[in-house]
Amino acid sequence: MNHFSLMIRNLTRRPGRTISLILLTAFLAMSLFCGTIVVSSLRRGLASMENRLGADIIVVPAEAESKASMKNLLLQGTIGTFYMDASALEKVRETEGVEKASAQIFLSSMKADCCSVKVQIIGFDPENDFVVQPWIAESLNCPLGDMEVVVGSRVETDVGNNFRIYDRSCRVVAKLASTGTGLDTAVYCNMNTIHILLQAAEEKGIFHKIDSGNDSEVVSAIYVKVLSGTDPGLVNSRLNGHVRKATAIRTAGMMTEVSDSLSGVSRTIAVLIGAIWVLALIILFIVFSMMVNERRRELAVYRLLGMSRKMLSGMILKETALCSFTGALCGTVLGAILVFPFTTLIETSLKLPYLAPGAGTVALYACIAILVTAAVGCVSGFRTASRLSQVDPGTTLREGV
Amino acid sequence: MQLRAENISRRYFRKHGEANFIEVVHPVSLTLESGKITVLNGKSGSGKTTLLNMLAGLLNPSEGEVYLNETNLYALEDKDLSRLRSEKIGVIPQGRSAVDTLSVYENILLPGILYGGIPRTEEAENWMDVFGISELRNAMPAELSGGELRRMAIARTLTAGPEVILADEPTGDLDSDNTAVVLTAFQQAAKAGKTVLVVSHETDAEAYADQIYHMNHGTIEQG
Amino acid sequence: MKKNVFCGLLLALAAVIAIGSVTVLGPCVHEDGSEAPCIGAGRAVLIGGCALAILAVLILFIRKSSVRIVLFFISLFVAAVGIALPGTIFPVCRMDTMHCRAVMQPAMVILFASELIVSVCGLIVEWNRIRRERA
Repeated sequence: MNHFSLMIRNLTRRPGRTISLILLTAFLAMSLFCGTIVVSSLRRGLASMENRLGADIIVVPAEAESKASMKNLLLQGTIGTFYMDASALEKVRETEGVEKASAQIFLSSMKADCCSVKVQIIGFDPENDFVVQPWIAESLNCPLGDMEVVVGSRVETDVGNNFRIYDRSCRVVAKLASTGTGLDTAVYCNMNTIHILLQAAEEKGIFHKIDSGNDSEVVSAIYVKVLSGTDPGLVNSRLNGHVRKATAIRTAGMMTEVSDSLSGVSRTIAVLIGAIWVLALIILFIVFSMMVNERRRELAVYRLLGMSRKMLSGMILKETALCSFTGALCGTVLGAILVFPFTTLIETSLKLPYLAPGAGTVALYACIAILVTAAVGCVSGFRTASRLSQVDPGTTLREGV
Repeated sequence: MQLRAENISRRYFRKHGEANFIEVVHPVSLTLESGKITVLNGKSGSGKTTLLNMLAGLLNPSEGEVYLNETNLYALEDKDLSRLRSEKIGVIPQGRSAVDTLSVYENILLPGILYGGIPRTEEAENWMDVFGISELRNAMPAELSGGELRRMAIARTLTAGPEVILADEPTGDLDSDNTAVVLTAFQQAAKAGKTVLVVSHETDAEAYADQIYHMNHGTIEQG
Repeated sequence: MKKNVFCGLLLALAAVIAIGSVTVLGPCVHEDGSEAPCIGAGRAVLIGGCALAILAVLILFIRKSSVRIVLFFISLFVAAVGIALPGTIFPVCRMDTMHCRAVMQPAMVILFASELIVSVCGLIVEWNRIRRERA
């Protein structure tokens, strides 16, 4: 028997008290860790979305739902199919202040090889695209050929597989890195491929809101980069005036909306964590105060047998530290079990860009959560340890005689 | 080892009659010699336990000094006094003094391991045999009777092998057979050179005593 | 007392698995009423949950230690198989935003893993109890 085994016996033979302390600190650590991961993932998702957008303005068809559809497509990957006349592209390029513009055509698959549900197919023009290409270049170092597709990170297929859409077979040549946005569920192809697929969709009798009889005369969205030094707001107004049956959306405005939502969610999470910590600390304080009365007699015996005050408070603090550390570790592990397997659920529930941090960052957050919680647990017990070490054995052991 | 008290007294501050304090122990001088059993008897409330606690280094006297050989106990810092008490002074208190989270055997070994010492398992086994509590070695204190707890506390003190043994009502919960066993053990300890003080309001211990003191209302006189 | 705690935990977890598999933790539901690819996984998980619940009740009421040990082993085995049910043994939908991938699969894996851990703990406690009785 030694001091350590004495400490373990003190803890294991008072399971109620020990488990209460462990549970409280576990709760603290879990809330801190989960909250940090969620807020960090939201921030990373927002930064990723900002990075991926690439354009200052997006021009979409004038229908009221198009703007919302565009935002939902970017945030949640909600399938969007809307079209406008391809002549809008030239009008956009002619608008003063526009440096470059590139069109995309959207199509939804009814039932694709890979999926039980629809996927978003996005056709882009490799010759003038500046939105998707830089991103694709990270995973593919050759031009995207006809009937070749690049898939988002969430599309369940692998490079080299064939991907069937409207009974046309496309080869998967690359899989993109995760962005935490709705673009992770999209499939990208060049304009030739999208036109073939549009034709195939029409052959299947799928109505996809094409007014014109000629598929090559429609686009879904036009991405615009303004000239350096030009006010994007001014260009936005010009586009709205110049391009008929189309609406220009400033991406900065979209980002601000998303950013505001994110701030709201972050604030809510911070308030929740704050409330949990305040409640848990109050309960910790009560548990420690109860411990003073409960352990007075036991500690009086230790003093009687020759344990000094410093040794006594050290023993209590070590017990508290062990409980706090164990609780912090369990809470962090539990938090990881809650947050990581359910990442998709969290993302779809929040309807915001969500990109989980890498393993190194997660490990760092875990260490911080464990250390902070363990430290707070120890500090909470410090006053109790100090009070208990002052116990007077002579008086205490006489009580009840 | 000689335990010597020089004019020690103890006052508690509370309103008593016309004074603002009550003097529980009036100035007392007392010498406990090694190799002898000293019995201190007196009625309840006479100040015996207070005097014992001051001699044990557990209660600071309001006035006076306590010396263990030439060491003034109350001049030491807490950590030094605690260590000295752990090694040299064994106290058997009047009340229940078990650590509830430890078994009987673990309680008995406890004093020996406080400062990193090797558990005195042989001595523990011997004293558990002497006091008839070997079968209770794995029991928890909550399962023991008052007499069994008392014998455990005495076995714990004797296992630690201190030079000075201060026992407060050690036979209070015991029957006559066990009382005799305990007092005989104290007698043997004294013969081995230990300094033994037994505080008791019963007369059984007097038959084993080398010197007897009576305590009455905070003053002592030799019996 | 200890054995009842483990039985209680086993039963509670099994109930969550079984009830969850037909409610919030269940397979995907198509709007057009057609069966999703993950329906098989959902049914398998329900059967697994019911099996674990029955085992837990048997462990609670059977007094013979050797039989209880066998039941704990079976429970352990069923829980281990249960972990592999959604996704490995039975297919789930391929898009990870689908309900079966986002909710059912992770939840059931965690629940079956918890059952496994509780079964192991229960087995150890029972084994130690038998050893102490024989000693």
